[in-house]
Amino acid sequence: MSSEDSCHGPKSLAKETKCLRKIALVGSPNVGKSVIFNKLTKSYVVVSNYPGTTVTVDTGKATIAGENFAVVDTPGMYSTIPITEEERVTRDLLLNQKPEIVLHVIDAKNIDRMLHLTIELIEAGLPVMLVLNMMDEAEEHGLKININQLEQLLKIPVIETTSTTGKGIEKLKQRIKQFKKNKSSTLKYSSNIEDSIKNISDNLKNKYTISKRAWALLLLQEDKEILDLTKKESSFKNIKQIVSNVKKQNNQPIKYQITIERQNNINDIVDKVVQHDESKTKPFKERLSRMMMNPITGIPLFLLVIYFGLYQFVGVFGAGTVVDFLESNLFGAYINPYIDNLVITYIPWLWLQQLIGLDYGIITLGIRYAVAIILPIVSTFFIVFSIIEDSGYLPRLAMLIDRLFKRIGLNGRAVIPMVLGFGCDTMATVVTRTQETKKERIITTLLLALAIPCSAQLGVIFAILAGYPNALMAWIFVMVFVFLFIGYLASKVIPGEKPYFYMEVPPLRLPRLSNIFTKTYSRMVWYFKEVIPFFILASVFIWFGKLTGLFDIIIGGLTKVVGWIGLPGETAQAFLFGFFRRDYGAAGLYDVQNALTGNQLAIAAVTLTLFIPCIAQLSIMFKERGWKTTVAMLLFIFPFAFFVGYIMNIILISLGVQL
Amino acid sequence: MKCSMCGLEFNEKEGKNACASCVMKGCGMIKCPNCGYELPLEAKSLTSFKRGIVKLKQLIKKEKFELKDNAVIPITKLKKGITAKIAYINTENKNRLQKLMSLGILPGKPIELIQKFPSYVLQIRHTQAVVDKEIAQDIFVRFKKD
Repeated sequence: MSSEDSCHGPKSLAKETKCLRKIALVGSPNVGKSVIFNKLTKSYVVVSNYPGTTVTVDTGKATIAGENFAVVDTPGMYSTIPITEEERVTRDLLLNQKPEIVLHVIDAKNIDRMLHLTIELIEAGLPVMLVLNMMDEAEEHGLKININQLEQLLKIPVIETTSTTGKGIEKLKQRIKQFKKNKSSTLKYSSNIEDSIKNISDNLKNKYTISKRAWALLLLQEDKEILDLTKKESSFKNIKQIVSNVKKQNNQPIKYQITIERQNNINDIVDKVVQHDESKTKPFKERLSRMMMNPITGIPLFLLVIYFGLYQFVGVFGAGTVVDFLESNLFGAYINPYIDNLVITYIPWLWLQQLIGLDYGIITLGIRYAVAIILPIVSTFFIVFSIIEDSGYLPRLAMLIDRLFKRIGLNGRAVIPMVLGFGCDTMATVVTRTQETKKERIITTLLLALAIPCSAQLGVIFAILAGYPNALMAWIFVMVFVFLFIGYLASKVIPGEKPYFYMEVPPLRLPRLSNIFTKTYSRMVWYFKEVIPFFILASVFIWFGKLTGLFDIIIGGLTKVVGWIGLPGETAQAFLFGFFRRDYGAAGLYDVQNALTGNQLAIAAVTLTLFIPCIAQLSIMFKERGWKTTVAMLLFIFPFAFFVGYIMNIILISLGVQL
Repeated sequence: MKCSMCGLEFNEKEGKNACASCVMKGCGMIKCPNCGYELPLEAKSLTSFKRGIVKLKQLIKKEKFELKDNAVIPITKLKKGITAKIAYINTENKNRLQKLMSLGILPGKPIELIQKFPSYVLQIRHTQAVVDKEIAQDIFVRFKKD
């Protein structure tokens, strides 16, 4: 489609941004790119920044000095030579969408490490502006940067910002408005590399989206994608020959040599423009950070985070106080009686009455659950998660847990989807995209489906088992055991590389309220769009099942199954509802809890947690993992859940324990 | 060892042969090749304890050996809290190499080993990074006495 076609007619935001001059935000993960994006685009776009990376590409409209721009927030990128899917996406975007300005956002205190990409972008002939972000942290570390001199050395505009507070954003906008591309400086490599660059450039006859020099450099560094794109050249063989000759002369990879030479050049620049005041003492933050990473102090700190963040705030406050208030005061006292009254008065058919109101109606069950139970629990969880995420605690937790996770075929980074799973397993399953190997994605998806209860389910289970501390302990113990044991088996059975672990540890940061709010809000929006429709669907299914008598047949069958694991027939309904939504199952248990003993409650809670994931999660599993893998997982999970309940029952009976 | 039933003296290998027909593997017992009486194998905890002491002795020796000036060693052998200069990186695994480079781990830069357990915490200028042992072993540093 030519750009002219899309620029006329009714304008949606997506269409409109296509016609505008484009600004691309580029940079490695965790440099505050998304925050700058938000500050530039104001409220025009919903941010979808999943932890660690921006999985999807966000485009928003920005008005700068009266002119509209399309701003693209690209996924995190370390180098123009991609290894991850995100980097590939970003490079493709830069090469093919031809942005008019490329804003390279860097973490100012790590200027010596991040200028690599700036230079690579300049080498590619892109219209680069350098944004030194997180200036507040750089100052905390005692760094002073001479901006004017840096501009002269790189021959590109350089702007200082602190995106979290908004400092420097106005200046940035001014410079965007004034921006004109100059001929930037290029860096000279040693003669063997320069010679081969020249030889390759001479052989490049076709037109490329970036400079021939940059193309030749990428070819020298054996970039496969670029090599494929060069195949059309008449002298492709010569080019390959040149590359393999240089390779033979060097005993190290050329990429390594080029990076080292570039680093030497950067060191020269940094020596000139950066002043470092070393006298600053180790701040409190650093001491706290080390305490978090030392197992002796780190594990108690982790337990404190769980206790206050998860148990007190999400469990007691969100799932207790707020849910009680909404359930009994809002729905129990007003909405449900009102709706029931309405349908009974105005609708003559019982089946339609039941679809909308009464015990299992869309409003009285579906919406009530969504608003009164799910909303408070999930939003309190997302608040805690956003605080934890913004404070920089997750990499430290990943570091503590890496050794344990290696045993189950994962690496420490998997804590991010796992912790998120305690909020919403569906969202966590989406986040598995950021994992590097297929094996890790499969194991994480399986464990999320099997052993990680979501916040809604967790809330109800805590409520049921509150009176039985021993049963609660038994539940926790069995869940941890299953998580580790199945993870261990899965890591042995599923083929694939051994995972390895590397992660940058950002400094601890005091999260800012406005950023927490934006994150929580965008997650809630996602949740309501992706998950709530399934809740409504579930209540329609339940209505249909009740109406047709289908449920009675299934419950009849399930009664036998629950009998095997030592539970009374009343719980069969809870299991059936658990099919539709994880917490429906647990909530169904809530209704019959008085008829159950501590043992039975523990067994039922364990089996229900392990049992099939909710419909929303299931649909995401099919989407992300494909139907073969998902069906295989389900065929395992379903019998396994009951098997564990069965074994637990036998053990409890034979030991004569009453929980 | 000596069979406490029939008094036969035999070594572990002979005992193992006698065990071959038995289905119980790793039971901690050993059969007498003569009478078939099962006697306890020398306590494993004792042997592992002995082994531990030998290892500990080696470790102390090694620590002394490491302190040689200008030695190039993998960073895993450095002591906690020591700063050294990166000498080179093992470049065999290209993906890993690029990750290390993107963390700013490059020859010539100073690197401090902050912590060794449960993972390696490294400080390279203003960047802190954690890596597992496999990756840490790829980083070689030049140790200087201060």
